[in-house]
Amino acid sequence: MKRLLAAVLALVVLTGCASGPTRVAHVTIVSLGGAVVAMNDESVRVYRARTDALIATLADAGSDYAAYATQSRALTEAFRARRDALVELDAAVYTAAGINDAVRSGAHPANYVALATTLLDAVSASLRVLRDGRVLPALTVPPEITQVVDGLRALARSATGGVSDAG
Amino acid sequence: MPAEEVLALVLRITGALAPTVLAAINSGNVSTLDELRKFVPTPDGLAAMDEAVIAAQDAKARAALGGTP
Repeated sequence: MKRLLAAVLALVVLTGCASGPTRVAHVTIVSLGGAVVAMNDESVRVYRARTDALIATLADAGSDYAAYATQSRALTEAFRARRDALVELDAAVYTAAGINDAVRSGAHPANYVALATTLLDAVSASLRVLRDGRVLPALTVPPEITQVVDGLRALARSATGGVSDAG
Repeated sequence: MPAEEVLALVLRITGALAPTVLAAINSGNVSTLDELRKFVPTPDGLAAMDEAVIAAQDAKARAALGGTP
C-alpha cells in the first residue's frame, strides 16, 4: 500500500512536468475519481439495503438485537473488506492511469513493466473482492476502471510477451 | 504550485467536497500541494465514513428490535 501511494505521489510530480501528458492524465483522473466514488457509494447502498432487510426480517420474526448482531456480522465483514479493496484499487488505478498516459505520451513502456505487473496484481486482488457476490451483491466495476486495467494488461503483456489476468 | 497540478488534485476530490476546496483556495487558505491533499479522502477518512454507516445501521437495529448489544 505504501509503495502504491509513493508511486501515486511520484506520478503527480511527473505529470506536472509536461503540459501534454498532464492534460491527458487530468482527463483520466477526473473519470477515475468519479468511478471510485461511485463504487464506494454503491458499496454503502448495498450494505444499507441488506442490513435494512435483515432488520425487517428479524422484526417480523420477533427476534431481538442479539440476533441482528450475530447475523449481520458476515455482512459487516464483507463491507469492510470492500472498503479496504477500494482503497487499494484507488491507489492502483491512479498510478496505472499515470503509466498509461506516460506511455501514450512517448515514454518507453519497458520502464514501467515492473510497476505495471505489480499494479495488475493489486488491481486483480481488489476486483476479486469487489466482484465477490457470495455475501453482498457483487459491485459493478465502471468502464473507466476496466479501461485503465485493460491498458495496464496490454502494457504488461506487450513488454513481457506473457499473459496477464486482471480479473 | 503549478495551476494544472492544483486543478488535477481539485478534480480528484469528490463533487461534494469540491466547492469546499474551491472556496478554501479562493480565500487563500490553500496555497500548497500538501494543504490541498488534506482534502482528498484518505484511507483513514474512508474507514471513518464506513464505520459511521455500520454504527448507524447498528443503532437502527437496536431501536427496531430492542434487546441489549
